Amino acid sequence: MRVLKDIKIAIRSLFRFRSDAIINVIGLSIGITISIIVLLYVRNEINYDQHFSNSKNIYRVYTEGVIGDNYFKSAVTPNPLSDYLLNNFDEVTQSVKIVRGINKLVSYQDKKFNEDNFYYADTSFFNIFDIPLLKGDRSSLLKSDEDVVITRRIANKYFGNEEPIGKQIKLDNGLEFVVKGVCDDFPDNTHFHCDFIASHKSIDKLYKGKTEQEINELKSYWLQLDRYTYIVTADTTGLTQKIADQLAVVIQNQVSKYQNLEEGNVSGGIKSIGFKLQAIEDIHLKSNLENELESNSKRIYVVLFMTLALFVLVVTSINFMNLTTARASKRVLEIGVRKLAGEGRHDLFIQFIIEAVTYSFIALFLGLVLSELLLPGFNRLFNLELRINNLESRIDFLYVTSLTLLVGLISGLYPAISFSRYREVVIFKKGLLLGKKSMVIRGALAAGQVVVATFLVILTLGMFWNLKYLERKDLGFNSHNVMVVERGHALGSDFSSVKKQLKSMHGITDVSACKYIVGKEVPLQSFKYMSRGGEKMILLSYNFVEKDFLKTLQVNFSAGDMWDATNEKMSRDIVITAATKQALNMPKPLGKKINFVDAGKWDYGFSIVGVSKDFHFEPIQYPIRPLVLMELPKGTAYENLIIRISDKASLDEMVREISSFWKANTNGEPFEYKMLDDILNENLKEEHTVFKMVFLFAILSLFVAWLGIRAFSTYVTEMKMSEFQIKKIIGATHVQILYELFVEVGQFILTGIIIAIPISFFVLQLWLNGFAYYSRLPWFVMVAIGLVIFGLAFIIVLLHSIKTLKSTHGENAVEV
Amino acid sequence: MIQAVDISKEYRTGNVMHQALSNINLNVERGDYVTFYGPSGSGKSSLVNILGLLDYPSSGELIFDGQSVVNMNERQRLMYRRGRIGYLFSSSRLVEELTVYENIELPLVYQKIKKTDRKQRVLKIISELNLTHRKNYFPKDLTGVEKQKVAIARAIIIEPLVIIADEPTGKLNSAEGVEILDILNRINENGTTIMVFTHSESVAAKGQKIVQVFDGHLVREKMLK
Repeated sequence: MRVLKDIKIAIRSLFRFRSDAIINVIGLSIGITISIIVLLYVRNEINYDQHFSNSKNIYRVYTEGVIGDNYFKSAVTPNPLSDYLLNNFDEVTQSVKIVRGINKLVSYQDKKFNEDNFYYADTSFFNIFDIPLLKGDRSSLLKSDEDVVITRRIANKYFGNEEPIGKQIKLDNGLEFVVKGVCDDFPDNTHFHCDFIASHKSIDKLYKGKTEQEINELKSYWLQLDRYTYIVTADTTGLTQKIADQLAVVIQNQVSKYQNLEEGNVSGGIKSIGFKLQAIEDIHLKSNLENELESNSKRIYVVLFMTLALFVLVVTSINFMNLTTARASKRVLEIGVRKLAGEGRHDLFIQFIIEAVTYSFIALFLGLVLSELLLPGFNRLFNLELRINNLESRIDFLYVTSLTLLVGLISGLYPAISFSRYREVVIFKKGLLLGKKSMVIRGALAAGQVVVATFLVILTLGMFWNLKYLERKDLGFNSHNVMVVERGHALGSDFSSVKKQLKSMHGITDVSACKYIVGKEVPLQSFKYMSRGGEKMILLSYNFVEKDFLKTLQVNFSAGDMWDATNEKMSRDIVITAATKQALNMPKPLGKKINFVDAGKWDYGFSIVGVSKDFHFEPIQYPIRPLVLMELPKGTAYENLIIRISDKASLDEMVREISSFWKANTNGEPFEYKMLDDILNENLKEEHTVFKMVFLFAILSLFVAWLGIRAFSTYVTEMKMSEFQIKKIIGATHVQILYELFVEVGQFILTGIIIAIPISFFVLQLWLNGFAYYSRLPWFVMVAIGLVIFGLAFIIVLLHSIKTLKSTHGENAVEV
Repeated sequence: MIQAVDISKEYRTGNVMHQALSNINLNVERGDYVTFYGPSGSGKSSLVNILGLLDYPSSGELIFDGQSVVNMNERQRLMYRRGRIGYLFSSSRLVEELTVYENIELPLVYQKIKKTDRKQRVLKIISELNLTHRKNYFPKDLTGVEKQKVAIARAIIIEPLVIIADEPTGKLNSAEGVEILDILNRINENGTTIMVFTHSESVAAKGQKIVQVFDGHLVREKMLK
């Protein structure tokens, strides 16, 4: 009952000192809101792939090796690896290989859609990745080469209310599938997302015209990396080493076999290939390999946000404590009277604690309401699916409740201890004595808040500065008004005819085509060339492009030109970039030969006819790597069309015209396009997301710092009230008093700013190190931010204190 | 020098009106030593605040050195007070973070007096009040009477026309009280007007003129010297 009485008093006190209490509770609720949201976000990040029931035992196998002089780590592995591991290692209880079919046109009756998440997988897929199955028999899935399993979303998209099981779908590569199962959508926090999972066996149908022996040889080929391999093992001790030892022999045999072939070295200059394991629970935050299925995040972001959330919670608690203590000085008589009435130190202590805990639970309630209100916007902004009220979050609720209790206890502890210990005679004679030492501690804590706010503001501006730099950076080509149309092969293999028709349209200035889209990661390939030291192998990026590719992108040449049209099946001329010239160490590369070496397939010599200037053919975060451009053999269709629209033409009109052309020449396939600028901007999506989050944090931390400075200045004003009174009586003006007050508060703020600037510089540099090219926020801008924050702090102190200081006149000025 | 005409002061607390001063009429000449004597609640504090230009009367006229000060705004009053009025309270109300020297110097700092001039004036007063050996001490290291001497030094450093002292011996023992009143007497002999507010009859008896305050009224004036 005593507790209820104290809660009642706490609530009455809240109403009595409502302006202070509202600020106090709102400040704390903001801290709690941030903590809840960040907790959900962090939980989502660290729980990636943990929804698979056996996630602790699932590992992805990745490849590590050296080709030529180039070391690489890639998520893709050879086709035979999965079966080999299952059959040769007792520790491996299950394995699956999957391959992703990109940009597939899927059709069902008259419905046709381009699908990005079409996967082929072995029968064990659903045993390892146990996504809930809504329809179908898990034990028989993917056994037939016609089987496909679709997700709930895809079932609705293609079949609506119809029964999906048994329905036949077609791919543009000629494969046909029957829907054998419907699974739940892959949860957001999965490192890859499938919409279709087709039987891996179906790929055999694509080896048209090959004998069974040739097919078997291709399937047992170890030097081509294009499958993702996952295994289940309960014991990884020594497994990696065993795999390395055993497979080293297999790989060496294969390398030797192809090296011994008469047509030359087709082992691709492979010096070594090895395989390692990574836990799938680690992929999202720790893996950054080549050929990742989807882009992953970074641990640094989780650590950063968790630290910030913790700090925000701590500083809001400190503000809460500061305001409570400052406010307690207004309750001096109440405390004195309570003591006189017989309330013991213990009772008073309990009352202050209960009051603080009551406030913090009110703040928790507000925080939960605020989180619920903010989450939809937050989810939209960051493309997440965070929810408070789902089953998995129950433990979070318990955690947040305990945390709130702890915050209440800690916040209430200081005022409770310091006010309960005064003797009534001291209270009546001198009031509450707020010590100088306590002011230094509080000032240091306020400075801590300024450190965080300044750090986040500088980080936000630093990120913004670099993002703007990257967006405006000269890419080496003109990306404006360039339309990219994927699935260009739908228009057939006679590209010259397509190009002619497109170019005849008014408003189109150039048309070309390529295999890999500009701005996306381009694969590496082994090339052989002669150097002073003899024959050498090197890994270079390459792209198959139509001869007007560089002209369409407006990339300039530094020597030579594009290859000429030829009647041969394929041009034997290639163009390299300036970076390639440097990598090959060829001062005069024109006319020199280099060989394209595709392990086990090709070893063709090409003649260099042109050297282009360097350009960002991959995401802007990447360094400009050496690039080789070559033509596709005649009769082979390009994947992507690139169309430059005239600046004067209306884009909408051009889209309509090109769309009509597309539909007329592709049997009504859906026309989908992207502007090159949008593709390039998408590469910075993660950076923009992090920037938005840091920006949000910066705003909130500024608000919290405002509360902090306000609380601290209230504390200082209360503590120095008597001093200020006498100073005013002996002739100090308001300005002089404010100046003195600001010096008291400002020294801590300035210290906070001075500490924050080098920290910001260091963390910003850590972030910038993830970019091959970056622009650092100039130091004077950081100093200017510090000055602005200092100025804002001055305004806060001014606005908050002037009223209080003015009231120190009059009847309160002189004691009786 | 100070002329109060029909000064009244009312305070409102919620719906309750409290009349602190009623129709006060008073004339204090330059060089006077006037003591205001009355019990607690008689209106002395209200009178200190109004005569000391720290508060506004609800009605009436207050003329200070021939100039009406009733309608001055806060800043004008502050500027007017500077150099004209010195204050002394029962608790010395020194700034704890400042030394004796710095406390005495403080009013001159606010008046933006040059440092060399300040030093000269402070050292002179410190010497006159026998505080030289304490000039670098902080208030916490002083005795009660020393603190009050510092407060007097701080009040007279500006060479005021009048010193308003509110219970200047209230927290001292009788011997210390006498020492402080002697100092005030010496200051008065040098031409500074002294106004002492007290509830002690013996303190009141030190003035040239006693004004008795009761229930917000000046009930009696008596010339002693």
